[in-house]
This record gives sequence, C-alpha cells and structure tokens, in this order.
Amino acid sequence: MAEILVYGSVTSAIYALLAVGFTLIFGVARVVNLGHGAFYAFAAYVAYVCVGELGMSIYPAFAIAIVATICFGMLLEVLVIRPMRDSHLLLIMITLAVSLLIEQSLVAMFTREARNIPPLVNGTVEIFGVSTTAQRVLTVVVSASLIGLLFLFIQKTKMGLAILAISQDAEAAEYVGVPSSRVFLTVMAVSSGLAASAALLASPFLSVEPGMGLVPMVKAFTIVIVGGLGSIPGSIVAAIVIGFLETFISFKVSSAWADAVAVAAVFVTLIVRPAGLFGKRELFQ
Amino acid sequence: MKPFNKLDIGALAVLLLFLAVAPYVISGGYYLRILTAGLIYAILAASWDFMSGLTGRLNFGQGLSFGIAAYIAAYLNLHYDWHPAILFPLGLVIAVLIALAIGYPTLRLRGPYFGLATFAALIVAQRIVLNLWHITGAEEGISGIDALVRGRVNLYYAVAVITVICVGILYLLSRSSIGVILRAIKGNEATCQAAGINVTYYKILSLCISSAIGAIGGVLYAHVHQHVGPELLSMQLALGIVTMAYIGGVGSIYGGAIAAVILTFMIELLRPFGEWRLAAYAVLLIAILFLAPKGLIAPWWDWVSKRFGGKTESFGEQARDAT
Repeated sequence: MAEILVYGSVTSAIYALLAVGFTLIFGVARVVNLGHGAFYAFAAYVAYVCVGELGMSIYPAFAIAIVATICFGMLLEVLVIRPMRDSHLLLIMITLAVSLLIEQSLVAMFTREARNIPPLVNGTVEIFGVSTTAQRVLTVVVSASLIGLLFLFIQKTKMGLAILAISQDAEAAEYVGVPSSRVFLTVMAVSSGLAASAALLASPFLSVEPGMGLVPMVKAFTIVIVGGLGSIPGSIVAAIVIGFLETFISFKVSSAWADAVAVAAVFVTLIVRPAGLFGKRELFQ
Repeated sequence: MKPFNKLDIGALAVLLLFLAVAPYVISGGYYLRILTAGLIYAILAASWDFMSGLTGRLNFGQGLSFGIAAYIAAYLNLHYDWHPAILFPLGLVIAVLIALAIGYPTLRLRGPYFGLATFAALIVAQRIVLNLWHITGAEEGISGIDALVRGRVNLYYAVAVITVICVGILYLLSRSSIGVILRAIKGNEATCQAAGINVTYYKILSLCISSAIGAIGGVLYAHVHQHVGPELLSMQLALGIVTMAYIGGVGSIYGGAIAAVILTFMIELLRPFGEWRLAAYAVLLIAILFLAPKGLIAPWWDWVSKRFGGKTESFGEQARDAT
C-alpha cells in the first residue's frame, strides 16, 4: 500500500506538469496542442546530447535543454500556430504533424535505441518504509513547487492578470488593450517549459527514446478532459486521481491494463459529467 | 443531385480500365504488391473522409476499427481456422459496436472531445496490444494468416473489386440525402438542429458507416498481407490516413482514395531515404495544410469539370468551401 502511495505520487506529479501545460494552452489560446509530447521528447534529447555526447555537466545541460525547449515552443507558436489560429481543425492536425516530424527526425538521428540521462540527485531514500530513488522524491517536490510558482505567477503579476483576462473573454480583453499575441507566446513558453521539466525529471528513471512523448501526452489530455477542459485545478486533481489509479492497477492487477485507466476515465467522465470535475470556464478559480 | 456528370463517367471508366489492366501493364510483382497495398489504404482514406470529411469532426480512431478488425480476423483465422466469409461480417459488427461505444459519449458534445478521445483510445489500444503479447505477438504481430485467394494477380483483383465497391458505396452515400445532411452539419450544427435534424444521430450513423467500411479494410489487410502488427494502431498510420484524405480533398471521398494509392507509391519510392521518409510524410502534411488546405486532387478535378464539362457548380466544392 505504501508503495502505491510513493510511486503513485511520482506518476501523478509528472502527469500534472504535462496536463497543466496542455490545459493552459487550451484554456487561454483555445489551441489543442498535440505537439505537447514533442516538447517532452525534445527536452530529453537535448539533455542527452549535452551530457552524453558533448560531455557537459548536468546542471548547465538541463538549463540548455529547458531554454531550447522553450525556444522551440515559441517558434511553434509564431511559425505554425499563429497563422492557423482561426481553424481549430487544422491546428490539431498541424501540431500533430509537427509532433510526428520531431519523432521521426529523432529516429533518423539517434535510431530507436533507448538512451539514458543521469539523475539530478543520486542515492535512495526511505519513505513510509519504501526505499526509492532520491530522483523520484525530487520529482514530486520540484513538480509541486513549479505548479505553486505558476499559481503565484498567474495571480500576482500583470502578465498573469492578462492571461486570466484572455482566458475569460479573449475578445473583450483585446478591446481593453491586453496584448493577446504576447499572452499566447508567454503561455506557450510556460507550457513548453513545464513539459521540458517533466521530461528532465522523469527521464532518469524512464527511458529516453524518440516516441517517449506520445503516451505521456495522451495521458495529459485524458487528464485534462477528466479535470475539465481549461481548468488548472481540475487538471491537478485529475492527474492525482489517474496517477494513483494507474499505479494501483499496475500493482494489484497487471501493468498491461494500467494504460486503459485513462481512457476508461475519459469515457466515464464524458457520460456522467461532460464538463469534467471542475466545470468549464472557471479557469484558475 | 446527380452523382456523376458525363466527364465524371469518362474518368471513372478510365480508372476502372486502369485497375482492370494493371496486372498486365505493371511488370514485376513488386509494383503490383504496392498497388494492392495502396488500394487497401484507399478504403481507409475514403471511409475516414465519410465521417470526418463530411461532418468536420476529426476522427483519429479510424485505425482503431481497422486495426482491431484486422487483429481479430488474424487471431480467429490462425487459431480457429475461421473463414474470411465469416470474418468480414464479424469485423463489421465489431466495428459498429466500437463506433457506438466511442460515438455516443463524445459526439453529443461540442469541442475537441471526439478527436481527443479517439486519439487516446487508439494509442492506448496499441499499448494494450503490445502488452498482451501471448495473444497479439507484441511487436512481432501475427503471421501465417490464410490468403484471401491464391496467387498474386488474383489477390490484386479481389482487393481491387472490394475497394471499388467500398469506395463506390461511400461515394454514393455521400451524394445521397444522408450526405447532404452530414455536409449541412459541418456547415452549421445549430441551424440543422433548429431544422429538426437529429444531429447526434446522424453523426453517430456516419461514424458507424465509416467504421464498418474501415473494418472491411482491416479484415482485407489481414488476409492480403497475411500479417498484422502493432503499426496498424499507430499514430503514424492514423496521421497517414488523414494526410491522404487531405491531399485528395476533404469531403470528396474519391480524392482521398486516389491520393492513398499515389502516396503509397511515393512512400515506397522514398525507401532509400530510410528513416527520413516518414518525416517526409509529416513535412508533406504540414505543407498541404499551409499551402492547399482544400487538397489537390478533388479541387483539380472540379477545375477540369468546370473548364471542359461546362459544369457551373460542383457540390463537393461547395461543401469544401464551408470548412
């Protein structure tokens, strides 16, 4: 039982980082960004190249990986999403195409062979009688702090206020002079930065391979639907629910069926409460 | 409305003639095999187009009915020796059940729920197939399935006939009153509702039809390639189908089918580029979406019809403009 608690919170933490970024883009920019998984894989590979091939030490390598991923996210926003903003259908497809392009380019450059990146901290710790790696504990702590910082950013800064305004009524916000393009760019930077952090935290105990972003992204948007599209608290709660349920199923039943939890949760949510756990429009409340 | 004008009938005759003489014109089994594979993808692209192209709801689950039908056919044929004559209707029934299970919760809602839910279902289905290795053979897949008919040329003809029938049914349906309603739903859902049309019913109906035809493609795939693998449920294939339909011209049905055959050849020709060729698919899709979101094949044919057939307005074109 204690194992489920420990491993479940690690899974939930990673899911939450990804889901919050995904829901932020949807809630603010109304964009379903299926390139989100590409951020995750991109960051891990930048870190791998810096550490594994260029022999850099871990902190600068991780900093470069996060900055590079944020730049990638902002480029995606400016070059691909901005010209297509009016068509939701085309945006879903084009972001997915970008995702496929990144994955296949990684396959072509690094093959499908799994790679490793080193953990930020070594050693093991014991919690509730369960011995686990320190990296896992760090993952939970850093994820929680990053999400806390995001809340502070949104509630205490002027940019955060602008993000809130756009998310509530984009048109009205533009009329009163909120610079929507800059808000969208900021949101994309935050979202890709969170995805990069999730990748760097999780990769030491998962493997780095070209398709690594796909399943976490799928989990992220199932969580976002369960939590309520566009609701950040909803995403966090749903990430915890699904993270723990999956861990429970893989410990008690079989890991083969753990992935089905997320999809089952989506269909149950859509039948019982289509708006998700936390309603629709109450972003950040 | 009339599904064909004189020029269309001419083009159709040329296409059917090409399919009929292809084994004698194309030298070597290699190209005939690619053409056979391309025709199966044509069923997939056309059936995707019937739901997503006509109603404007992005369906990533086409691979789901295709892949699951292919796996069930492969398993039952290999282990219990079930005949394709039973497997085709069985796959069809299962696909309709899948369509109902996915369509009912998601298609009632506005927003991106349907697209995201089908995408999640597809990826998770692939993971489950990879995990249940003792049934599905994981990465290896299932091999040794009976061929539909003996001989490469016979197999080609069987596939060609089934493809023409499937695409033909979808095309005629898309020009029938059902097709009109589906296009109207894409144009303006609220107006359709106000006109007393049960929008959800028609969307689910179109998903069932699309899924059923996709499953026929799946069973056909299993009995033609005599092998099924997890790539049938991959995001790459799902996006490949969408690319075909987009290049063909969304909502035209025939455009996607023709594009499927052309793209299958193109991807084969790119084989020397190794791993980069799948990246080429992604680049192609991005380029099409940016430069010609209405597609290439159907808009080109509409232009030809207008220029030489004196047709004033094409219905398909009208529907595509509504996007």
